[in-house]
Amino acid sequence: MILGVRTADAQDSLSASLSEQLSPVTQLRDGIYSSPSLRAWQRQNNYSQIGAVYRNNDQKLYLQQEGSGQRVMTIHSETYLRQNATTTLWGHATYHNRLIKKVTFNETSDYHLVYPYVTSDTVGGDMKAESYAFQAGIAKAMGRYQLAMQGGYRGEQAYRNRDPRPKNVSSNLDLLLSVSRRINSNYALALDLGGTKYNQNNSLTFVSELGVPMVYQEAGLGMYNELMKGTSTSGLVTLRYNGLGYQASLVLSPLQYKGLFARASYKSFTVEKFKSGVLDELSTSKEQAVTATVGYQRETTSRHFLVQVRGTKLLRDGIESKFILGNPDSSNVLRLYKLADELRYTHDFTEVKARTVYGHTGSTIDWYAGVEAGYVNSIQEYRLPNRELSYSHWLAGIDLTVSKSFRSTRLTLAAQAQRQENIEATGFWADLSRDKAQYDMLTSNLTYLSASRTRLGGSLRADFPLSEKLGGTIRIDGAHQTGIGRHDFSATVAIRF
Amino acid sequence: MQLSRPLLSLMAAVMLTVGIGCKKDGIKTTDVSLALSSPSGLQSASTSNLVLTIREVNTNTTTTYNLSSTASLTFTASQGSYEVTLEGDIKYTDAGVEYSKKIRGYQKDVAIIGDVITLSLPLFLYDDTAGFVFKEIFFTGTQTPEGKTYNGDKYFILYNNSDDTLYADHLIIAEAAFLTTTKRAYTPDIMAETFTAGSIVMIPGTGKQYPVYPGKQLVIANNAINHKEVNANSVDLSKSDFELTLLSTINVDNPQVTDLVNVTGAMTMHNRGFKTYVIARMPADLTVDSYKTANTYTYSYMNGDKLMPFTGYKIPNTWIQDAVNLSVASIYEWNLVAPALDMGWSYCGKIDSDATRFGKAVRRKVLSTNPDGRVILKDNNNSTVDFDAEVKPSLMP
Repeated sequence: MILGVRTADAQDSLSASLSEQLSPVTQLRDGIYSSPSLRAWQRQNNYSQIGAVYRNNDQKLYLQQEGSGQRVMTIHSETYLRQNATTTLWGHATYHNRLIKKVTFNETSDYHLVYPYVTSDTVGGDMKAESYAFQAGIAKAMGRYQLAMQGGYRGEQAYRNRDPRPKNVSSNLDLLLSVSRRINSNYALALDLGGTKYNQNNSLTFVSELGVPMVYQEAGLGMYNELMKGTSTSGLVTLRYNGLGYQASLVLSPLQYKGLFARASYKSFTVEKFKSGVLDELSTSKEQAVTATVGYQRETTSRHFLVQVRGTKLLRDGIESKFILGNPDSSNVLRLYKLADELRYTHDFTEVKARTVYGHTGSTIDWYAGVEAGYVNSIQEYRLPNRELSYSHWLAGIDLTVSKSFRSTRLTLAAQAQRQENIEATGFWADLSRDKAQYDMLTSNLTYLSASRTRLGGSLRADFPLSEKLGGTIRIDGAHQTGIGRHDFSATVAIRF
Repeated sequence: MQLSRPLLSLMAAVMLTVGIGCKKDGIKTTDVSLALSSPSGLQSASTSNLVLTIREVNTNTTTTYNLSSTASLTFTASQGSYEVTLEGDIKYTDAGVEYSKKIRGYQKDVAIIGDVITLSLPLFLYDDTAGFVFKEIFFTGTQTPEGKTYNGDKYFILYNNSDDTLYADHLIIAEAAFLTTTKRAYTPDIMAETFTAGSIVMIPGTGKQYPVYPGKQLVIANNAINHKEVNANSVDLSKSDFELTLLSTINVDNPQVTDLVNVTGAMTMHNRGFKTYVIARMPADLTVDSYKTANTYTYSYMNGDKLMPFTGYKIPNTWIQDAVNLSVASIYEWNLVAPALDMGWSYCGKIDSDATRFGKAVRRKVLSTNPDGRVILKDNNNSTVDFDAEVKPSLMP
């Protein structure tokens, strides 16, 4: 569908487009121009590609709720097209088929969106998930202004075919409106306003006649609502998440890849959780995130340089409802009524990352060298009883990319090394008995989050012509991380046009 | 510099939005004033060693307070739905004697919300050793309007005086082999450890066939029929829970009512009240025959120069849940159970063969009534103070 917007633009140089795509500077630069009304300046060359990716990763230490790894098959297409002097179009469509390995204490999808309020049991297991995502956008120039909009949809279904049997259907609908104004010959200022609607329906069934495990409605750091826990003798638990978010961004960026740039954005996302048979919401999580980026870029025909510092501050509040058991209703079913709600869980996350890349192209070998450094501090707290899981670490990394053409085939070799060193870690859940499964879960999560690690990775990519207007890509990636015992492998095939 | 104004504006916007994300303390609390009320019906009651436990049922967080003997308490709790439990000691007097008991208070689904609330917690007596007791023994029988002695309308009422559901299966009622009006030097003297039974009857059952809920009772009739049909002065026992199998000459079987098992022959309740009755629980793994084999008691006493040998059955005191000595004041000589089981006795009739005793019973007094309406009967192991003597049978209209 998205590819349909691509017209036959025979003048596009596949080669120029490829060079731009291969550049780590471009990959970093894309973030600056992700504002819809700045997309007209995002790339110098149009491009389209369709590809398939196989990825597999396993790790010995991991976040229990997110599993020990994934095996993913992805089919992906995307395009970027400056149709004429005033119109820019872009879009992508993606299909993922995932096997998420050894997920425990979480039977809910989209953990990063709904945590800590997931449904859990101590059994868990591998989960299968299929998702579809579409996004399309258009920007139109009107004098000094660019008016743009971008819409996206993602739908996912996750399930397991043995007890416990979750079936989760979730979706996101996003809309972003954007306007930018050229404030002088070299700079534009953009304003983005957007909203997102999120839904998830989550059912959990058991068919075993040998008994079912306890099902918990988690409240963070191993806490759960005692009134809501149960063995679900009826064999079915159904839950629903309703989320709503909005965002605003202000971006200042150069128009010819030369000069200072800055971006500030604010995002708010609120999601409420409901359980069948209970009228009021079980919980509400409210996340606010502020991100600020400043940097400088300078690109010439043969030299490419970009440096940026990005800071993110994220606060998530978990508000729990408290219920009281009421009198039976007309069906003789005991009802739970909301009595009060209060803030019990907080997550305070801070990240500062700096990255710079310098590249030289046009000689026998194109090469890019990058350096990055960062600091992360994360504090999760639960109050009454008081629990805490916090950690902080710094990281530093280098990467090198070299690219050379051999006749009509271009080979690109990339290597990265990164060290993450834990500075501090605290795990406090003194009220929790060592006999409880939640104790082991928290201990395991802390061990993973606070583990110092070294990542060594590399990739080899071959780009070659298939016809006058088609190019092919084969790429192999691999990485290993010490400290958490993680291995990554991926293989990509793609057609560019 | 060309960029300075927009860049400064951007930085100001960042600072402004960062300010939005400040934390707030969300724990809402309520000041709770707790008012305790002692169990109804107790005289000169005073509480001590009170321990209050509150559990918020959503978060399963528990807080414990050790209290003095004050009747009220103020504490602060986070808002929620609570289960409130109080345990402690209570002293009270009854007939000039001071008693110490355990006390409890309990409420669930207590909503603690708002700034201030007052919570009333009624207290009740608690005895984790409580079990079945004799609520009433109607042993005298009745007389017909013509003045003739009428048999078969006597009964026992057993009462679950505990907090738990109890099962009547294999419960035995035994009548003493001896008389409270005739003291003998029985040899060997085993009263400190056992009760010497004459007749023993047992409730049948599979073990959990006959549940008795807290505060509920069982009526065990001699003959479970409507005696009023033949004796206007008698009672209707046709709705009894169980009936005895009496001597064949006076037994009338109601096939609708379950018969008790005669362990050692038919029981004939002494209508002048010279006997002692006990409720005991036979171990589940014992059969009637194995019980009798293991608990045969051969004893004797001297009647002048003559040794009088007898054989009876003994019931270990550890099996006994309740005992009631009955006698008559003018000829009372001794109690037939160890003092630990019953240190007093009750009666119907003040002299031997008192003609006024007919149509009267002994009934256990009420100690207190719990907030849920459950009556706790007095059980100080002293029938003199625990029972009201010579009362009108409760089943008699």
